[in-house]
Amino acid sequence: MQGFSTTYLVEFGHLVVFTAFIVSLIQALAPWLASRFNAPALARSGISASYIVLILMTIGGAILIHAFVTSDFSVLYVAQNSNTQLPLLYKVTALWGGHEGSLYLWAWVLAAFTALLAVQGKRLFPLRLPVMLSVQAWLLLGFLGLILFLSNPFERLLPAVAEGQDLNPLLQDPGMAFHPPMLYFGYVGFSIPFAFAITAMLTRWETTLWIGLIRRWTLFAWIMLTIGIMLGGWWAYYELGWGGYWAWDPVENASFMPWLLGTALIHSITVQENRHMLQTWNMFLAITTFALSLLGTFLVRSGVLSSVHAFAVDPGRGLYILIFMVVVLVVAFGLFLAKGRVDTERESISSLMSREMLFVLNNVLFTVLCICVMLGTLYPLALEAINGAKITVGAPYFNSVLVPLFFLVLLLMGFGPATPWRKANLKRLWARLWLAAATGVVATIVMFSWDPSAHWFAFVGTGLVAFTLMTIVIDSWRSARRRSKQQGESIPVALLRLLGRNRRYYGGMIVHLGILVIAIGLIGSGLFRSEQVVLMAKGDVLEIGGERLRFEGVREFRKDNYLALQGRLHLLGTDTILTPERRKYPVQEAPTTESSIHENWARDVYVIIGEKFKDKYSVHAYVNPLVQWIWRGGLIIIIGIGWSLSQRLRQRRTSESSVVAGGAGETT
Amino acid sequence: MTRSIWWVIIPVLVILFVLLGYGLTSDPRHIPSPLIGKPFPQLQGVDLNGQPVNLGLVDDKPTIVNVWASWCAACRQEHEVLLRGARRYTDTVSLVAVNYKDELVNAKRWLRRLGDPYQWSLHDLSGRIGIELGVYGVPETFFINRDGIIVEKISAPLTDEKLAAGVALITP
Repeated sequence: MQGFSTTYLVEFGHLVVFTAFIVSLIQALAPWLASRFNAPALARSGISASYIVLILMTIGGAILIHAFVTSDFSVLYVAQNSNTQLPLLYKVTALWGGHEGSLYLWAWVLAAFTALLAVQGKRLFPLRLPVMLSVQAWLLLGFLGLILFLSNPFERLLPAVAEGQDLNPLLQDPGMAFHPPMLYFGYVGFSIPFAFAITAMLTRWETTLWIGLIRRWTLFAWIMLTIGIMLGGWWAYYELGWGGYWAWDPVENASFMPWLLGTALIHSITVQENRHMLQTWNMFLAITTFALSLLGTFLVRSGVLSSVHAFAVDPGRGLYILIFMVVVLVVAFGLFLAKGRVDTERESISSLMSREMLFVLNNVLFTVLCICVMLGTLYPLALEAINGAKITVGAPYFNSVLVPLFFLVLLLMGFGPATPWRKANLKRLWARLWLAAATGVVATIVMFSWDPSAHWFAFVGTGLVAFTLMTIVIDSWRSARRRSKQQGESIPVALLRLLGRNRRYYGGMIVHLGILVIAIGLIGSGLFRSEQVVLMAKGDVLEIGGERLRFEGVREFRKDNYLALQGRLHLLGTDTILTPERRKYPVQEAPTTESSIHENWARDVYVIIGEKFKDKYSVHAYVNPLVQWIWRGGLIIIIGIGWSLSQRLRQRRTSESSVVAGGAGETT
Repeated sequence: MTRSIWWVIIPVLVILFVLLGYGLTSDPRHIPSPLIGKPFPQLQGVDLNGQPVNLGLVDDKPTIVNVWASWCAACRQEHEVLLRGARRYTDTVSLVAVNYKDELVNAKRWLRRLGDPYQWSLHDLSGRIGIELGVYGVPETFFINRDGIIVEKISAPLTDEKLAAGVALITP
């Protein structure tokens, strides 16, 4: 039973969020008011406002979580997304299981980032901070408006229902519980570079003075987005039971586009920190990356595109987000076109064979990749608008267009770190690279002789991965050897010291290593998967991808809130019995499949049990080579980013005019 | 700022906004059937009582063919709509059904419990009729006019409004 006080708690939460809206409005108007009434103190009120907004939003969120935990079904949103049977963890995470709550999470993350920005800005750029907070506040207002007026999670359902609706069983999974917040930390994190760029244009703030500051924000947003995307793939692989992890679904692409441009931004920031160039381009990237985050939110929340992610659709909300996005983008790009060039490039590319040139190529590639993803994602919509045809752009397009481009990215990844800034000496470059190049050629040949009938992606991909891997190994080895000679340390000690000294550079190299490990996983599982669907009776043996599975029959049992049909398959040569299940939840429509997976470093044996035909059962089996490498690669990337972020800025100066980030790694 | 970049950014933004705006007005889950505008195929089968029936125009009246199954939760949702519709349009249209990939016992029990709006339901246990009709998910509803032409197909649970709109299309 809900007591008197808890009933009013929800109304209080609603009021608190409304207050946050008003405080945000003050924060948004603060710089304008300050100049209008010539009162600089007013501008500073934006700082306190940003803290207050975060506190209010946190209280509102806590009240919503409280409603979920106490199963207060007088709250419509709680009744729609939770029930009393739900484990505590999923009661809490059900907060972002639906539309209203996930927007609330979006807004909360934005408030949190804004408050952090205020903390950093008070010390490092107090004069620009009010404008920047104002930019953030306008964004927050947009989302708070949507929350308060069109999708209010505090909406009441009176009289309350006795029991809430079940949370989709597929979503009751730790991977899924943390997939959306991670994505949102990524999306929203890119609002900080955006706010820097807008502020720079409004206040004519030289890019060089702040580009070092957005590096950490961008890296943080990027790693969160990366983790979010990886969690999504991981969940799809383990829970959805189709043997894959990525389907080029529009909603997946929506998160992939900002990821691609964010990657470009990280690299182009490094260029500008080392050479005074690409200022305008960086500005453009900072704006566009966030614009794509907004586009991603729109695509996911409006249901414009047909997607496996079946979200509830309300045209009113879609229209609101679209208008909001149009306003933000028109203002941002309008400013960019009018005042985008706040400072001039003092240097330009002096040689085609220089690190900056390769960085520029990297940016071109990532931008092209992003455009290709966008084309494929929006093409069905465009075609329908023109002639009403309904089509789906699927994996064949994306794979055949994007994979070759990613090969070029791998190639650059090998060349880039070996090439010095300004101008490379071709002879020295060759001396550094010949061994790696030879390794790549050997790897291609080995791959070819192992399976000449494979797709050409396999040969080229393997060669490139081997080449790039060797460049990292050789580069680290050379640097360690040089240090060991100079300092008289043993080589392992020298290598560790080196890693500790230049965390930014080697953090980046560790991330590259993670990408390579993922690439190996993608090549293995994408090109060499075996798949079979067979009818099996007890005692039958299925041979697939070098593995043998013997069907040992089925068990049927009832558990918790479902009926299960469990197949038992003995993976011959091991002690493992694989137990895929088919579950029927009485209240749910469709049965769910629980895959059973035997995994090791070389391959996953992935089994699903299907329908019964007479006395046989259909068994769907996959052997997915090297899938585990993908998840391991993700962990390596996290380590690399953490390592890179752990380097304190060498010269941390508080004056606005002299912020210069620590030098990037260089081995020449 | 060079002027040329205007010519890139502005059209890209405009196209993007127009597209997304258009996207909001259309329903991605609405898939037109290639059968629309074509005559309804003549299909034979047996109903739930074992009587032979002919799918197509029934009693020479405009006909609604509803595809349902007892295992389909969305069908339960639209069942009320069909019951109301059967009463309201009983003089003007025939309402028949294809019972799709369903056990006979379950199908009969469902109609006994929830009420039977159909003149009859063709029992399509194997899903063969479903293939002929291009059914890819239940419920689906075909609206056939007096000339036997499929005028509309709805691949979603019916609502009173959708049903009325469909009926208006096939009745003169």
